[in-house]
Amino acid sequence: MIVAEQKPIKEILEMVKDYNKILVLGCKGCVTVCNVGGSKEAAILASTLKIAARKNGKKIEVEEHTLERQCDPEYIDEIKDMIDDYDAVVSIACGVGPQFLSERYPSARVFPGVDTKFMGGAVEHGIWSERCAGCGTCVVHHFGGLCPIARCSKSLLNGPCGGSSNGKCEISKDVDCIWDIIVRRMTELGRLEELLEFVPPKSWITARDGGPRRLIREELVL
Amino acid sequence: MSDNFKPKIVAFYCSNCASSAASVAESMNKALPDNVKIVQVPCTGRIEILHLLKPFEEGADGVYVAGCQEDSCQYVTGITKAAKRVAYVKKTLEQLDIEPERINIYNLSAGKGQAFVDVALEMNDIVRKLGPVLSE
Amino acid sequence: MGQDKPKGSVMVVGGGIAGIQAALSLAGAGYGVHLIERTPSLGGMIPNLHRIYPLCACCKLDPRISACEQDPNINVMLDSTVLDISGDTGNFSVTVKTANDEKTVNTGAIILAAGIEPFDPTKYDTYSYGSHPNVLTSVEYEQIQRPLGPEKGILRRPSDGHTPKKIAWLQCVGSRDINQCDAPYCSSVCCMSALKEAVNTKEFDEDIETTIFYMDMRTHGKGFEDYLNEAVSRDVQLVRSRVHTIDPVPGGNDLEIVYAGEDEQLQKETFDMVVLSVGLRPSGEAIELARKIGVHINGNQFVDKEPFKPVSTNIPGIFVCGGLSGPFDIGESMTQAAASVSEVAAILGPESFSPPPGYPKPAKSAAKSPKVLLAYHFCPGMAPGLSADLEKQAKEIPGVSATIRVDGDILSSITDKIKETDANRLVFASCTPAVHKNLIEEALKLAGLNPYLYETVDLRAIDPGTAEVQLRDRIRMGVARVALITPPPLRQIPVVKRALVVGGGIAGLETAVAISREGYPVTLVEKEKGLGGHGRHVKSTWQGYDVQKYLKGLISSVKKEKNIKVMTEATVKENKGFAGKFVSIVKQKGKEKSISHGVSILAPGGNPIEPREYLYGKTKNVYLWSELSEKLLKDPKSIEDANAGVFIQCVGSREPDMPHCSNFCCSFTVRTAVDLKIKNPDMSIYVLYREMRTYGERENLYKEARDKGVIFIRYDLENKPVVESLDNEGRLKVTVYDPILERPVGLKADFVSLQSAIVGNSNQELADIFRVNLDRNGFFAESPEKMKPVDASSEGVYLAGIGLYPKDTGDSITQAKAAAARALEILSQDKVQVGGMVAEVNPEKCAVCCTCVRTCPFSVPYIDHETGAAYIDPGLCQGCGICVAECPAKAIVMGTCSDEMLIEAPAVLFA
Repeated sequence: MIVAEQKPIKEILEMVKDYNKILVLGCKGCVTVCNVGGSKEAAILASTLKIAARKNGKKIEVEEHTLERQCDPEYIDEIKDMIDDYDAVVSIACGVGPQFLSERYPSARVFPGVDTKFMGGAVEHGIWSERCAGCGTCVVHHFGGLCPIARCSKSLLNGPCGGSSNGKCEISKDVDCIWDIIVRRMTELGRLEELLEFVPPKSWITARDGGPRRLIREELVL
Repeated sequence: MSDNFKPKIVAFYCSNCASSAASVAESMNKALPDNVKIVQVPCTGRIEILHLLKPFEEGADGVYVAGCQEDSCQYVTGITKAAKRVAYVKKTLEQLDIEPERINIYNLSAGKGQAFVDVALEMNDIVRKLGPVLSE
Repeated sequence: MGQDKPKGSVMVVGGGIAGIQAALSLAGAGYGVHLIERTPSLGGMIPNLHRIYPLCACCKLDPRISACEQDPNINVMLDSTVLDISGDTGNFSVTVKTANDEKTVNTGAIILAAGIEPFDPTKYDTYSYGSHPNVLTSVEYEQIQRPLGPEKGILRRPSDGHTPKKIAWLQCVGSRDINQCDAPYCSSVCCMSALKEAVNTKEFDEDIETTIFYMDMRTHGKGFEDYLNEAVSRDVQLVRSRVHTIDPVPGGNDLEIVYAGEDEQLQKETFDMVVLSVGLRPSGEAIELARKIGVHINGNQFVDKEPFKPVSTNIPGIFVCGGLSGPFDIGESMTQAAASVSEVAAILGPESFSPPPGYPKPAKSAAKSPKVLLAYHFCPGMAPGLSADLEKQAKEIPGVSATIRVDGDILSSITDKIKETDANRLVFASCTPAVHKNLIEEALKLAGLNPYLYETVDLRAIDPGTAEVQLRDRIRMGVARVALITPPPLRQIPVVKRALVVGGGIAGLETAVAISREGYPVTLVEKEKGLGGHGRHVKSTWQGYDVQKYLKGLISSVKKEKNIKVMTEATVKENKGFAGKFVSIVKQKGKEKSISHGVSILAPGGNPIEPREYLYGKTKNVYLWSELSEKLLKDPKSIEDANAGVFIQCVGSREPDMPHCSNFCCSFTVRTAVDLKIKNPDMSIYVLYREMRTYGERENLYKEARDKGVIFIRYDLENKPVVESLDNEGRLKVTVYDPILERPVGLKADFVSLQSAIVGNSNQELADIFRVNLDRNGFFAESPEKMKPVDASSEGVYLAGIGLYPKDTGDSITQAKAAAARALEILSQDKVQVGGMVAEVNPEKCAVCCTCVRTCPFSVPYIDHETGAAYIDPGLCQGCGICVAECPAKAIVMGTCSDEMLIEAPAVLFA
């Protein structure tokens, strides 16, 4: 799923400092599961803004509302009758949310309350790790089920590089060298020779590097 | 900071160790000050971040959570969870330029029951010195 | 069933923790109980103590005392003593002397639980006890430590009131001593008590120096060794030396102790206080009574027990538990008390004092607006002036439709007033909420309401000077909260009256027999082909009783018992459900069978580890002790004819990666050594040990071994003995550093027995299947509710035997019966109530993120793939609310402690 992190409160306060009626908009999708943008966090952010205002002697009104998702127009539509009541909207959905809101409600002041980080999964409760960079051409099966595009700092396809040391990436002791893991796994699987086949340079056309992407499914379009 | 500032403090306490401590404190004729308002929960693990922020929203100057010792929680992990949430709220308060000392967590037991009242007095002291949250 | 058991009530003599436990267990199983207590209050020794080891639980005593006082089936008789007992099972006649008169009570069975007296060390004239103010007994010291004691928990030296800087403990005062007193036995609790007192002293003031002078550090119970390690890490000093004299230092109130260190150098140290760890004696009056009625007393002056019947006296129908029957600690006493209940249930059917009340069906009053009855009760000790203040405040709080003060028969007062005022909510204001829970819920049920439509208001710690404000806040909070309670749905589920026992060793067999004798069918699952577990290679108990003969008899009675279905070569694969209604899948020889049962008892046993040292497995004649024991059964001559044998204790035990003590290895060794010496007095036997843990009455055996010439050599972890092959005929040489000779000594041996660590047997697998927790040593964890020594962390699952912690035959039997008694409390009910203060998942809101599954401490929620949401079984939920707090989507609610209540709370409080 998409994993996001809450923006520092100071940054959010700075964003909304000139506004007095604020709507905090949560999302029941990915950001709920990673505990950053669901109804709980919407309530917490609303309460935090109110405490800040109280402390600074400001008078503000803050409401919270959580949409099923902020990446489908029907849900964005749901707030059409209430959005004008507010000076500012803080969306704590992933990056898609604030954009969909801005497109649908161009006169609304929409602020992102979270920083969207990566596509990943929970490795332990409370710890999420990046797994997919959205390169558009998935080839994890060539690497024992692991992705060097997302998990190698240099996105090498014929790694490891000389910086791999004791299973760790040269950029930090806390980052595993995915190529170390790939080689070990392929060895365990008895398929090490497959890695000897040279992988040619990746065509990044299908990735973000090829420009903003759009996916059209003809058989689904109404 | 006027001398007759009486902080508004909300105290969450659990129905196990903290409550047992209360019995001992009661038997020692110790009493909570009236500006410390108590809210009882089955386990401190039930208390969420929002519940800890709400008192500040409503004008509290201090909040504390009183639960079991780490190894004595009847629900095993409740007090540990509560401690993590209190730590989170401390960070939030800091971001709001509010002193993180205004929220605390205490581990109580019947073996030192007088602490039930002592921690209330300690928080009272701390918060009184910090003054009200609302800037003058 | 088939037997014609007489029916009757039960008399429990003694109102300490063992008596209280027995009374509650009996009442829970439908018996009327007469609980006789000599003093004016229940509680026994515990109220005198400061905290309990290894995990404090003394606060759990008060709710139990209240439960005894509130239970209509427990007749508490305080200030009463038993003068005489006559008659027999089903028909005992007991003469009881109360404060005002003498009366005869008729009862069906008797449990003696009269407890202990601490030893009075006055006769130890070299210790200055009684003549010097700063020499105290351990009990007196704990009194000083108690917040409710004379010093309000402030540690002060009796002579001058200053904070002591250095305190010494002397162990074995009045124990392991036939010189100054007649107590050759070990009192078994004092090592742990001294450690506890020292650790609590450090809690009070880290800088106080604490030194314990001891002979052997006996931390042999579950979790005790970990406690010892923690104490040492907190700088509690341990000095191995038995101190002869305490010298008052002239010119002041200090005390000097001169002792010989292990290097035989004389040391002198001055202390501010000395605590004498006094031994246990059984209650003198109770022993007198026992003698009078013909109950056998053993050589150590405790009530004697029958072989393999650790809670039975020689008189049928009269049972014994706790300190009266031996130097036992709180956990052991409670286990024995429960075992006594099982024994009673085997011979006597229940007869209660008052039948269970009929409850009117709860009216569907959810739609009506809340009408609150405020009932308040002042416990003794609460400020009397509060009443007027409270009434005044109650009048001004909107939502309170009636206020009533209740005293005496609180239950009826509340029930009647609810009916009278047509109230549909109750706010009960009093002291400790937990203590009144049962009473309140009962009152609501009798009034025809959902028993969870209440809130408690805590009236403790109110300042009389500001009472009005505090009362107003607290009552308003209670009234606001009670209005927000949605009545939780309740269901009555019929109890499946069958027990599933996992493990066919001694513990499993005994518990199966006990439950079947209580009248309920049992399915016993054993993974091996034969029954008996480890018992099959045990020769004798520490007392010298013949285990094989007993085991044959036990297996035979299990096989004959129609009510016990034995499944061998079978294992449990799956378990679902909750207490009262479990379903397990058992796999036997490839076929799966589904079994419905109401309770589970886990007795999977344990195994000694196979060491990778001391030439084990590399040469013959080096045995694991289970192998030696087996050899003594099958081919005794080969061992008995040996010239020399060496026993090495603590093999692989009490080391950093296996820190626990295996409890009975020292006793096994001395028993075997004594038996060998009897058969072959010329055999040289050496025991290489780190601590000799022949605790309790087993100490007599240690003395006997020494008397017979067994040589004991102590070794340290840093200097382990070395085993080498001496020749080609299998003779061995064991080299050990003797601390007294201060040089290595070589011992020639024909056999070496390794007493290696005992670990659990497939505990993790069973823990996952039955959703119970393990402790840090891999054994089953006791219930976190504490003071429930055979309860697992989930309800309806009980534990017995080595799987819970290494122990010997006698203790396994006791636990097995105790587990049977706990099981009886559920099996004897027809229905179990499910629901109430539990969490519930709203499947529509559930994001199926697995957070609740991961964070529940009791592993209750699981993802139900048919509904596509998490499911929390109301029968299993413990009501802590942790999942409610964790759920990211707020899909889990708990009606009795809702978000609304907690969010609204500050607004209500500050209004």
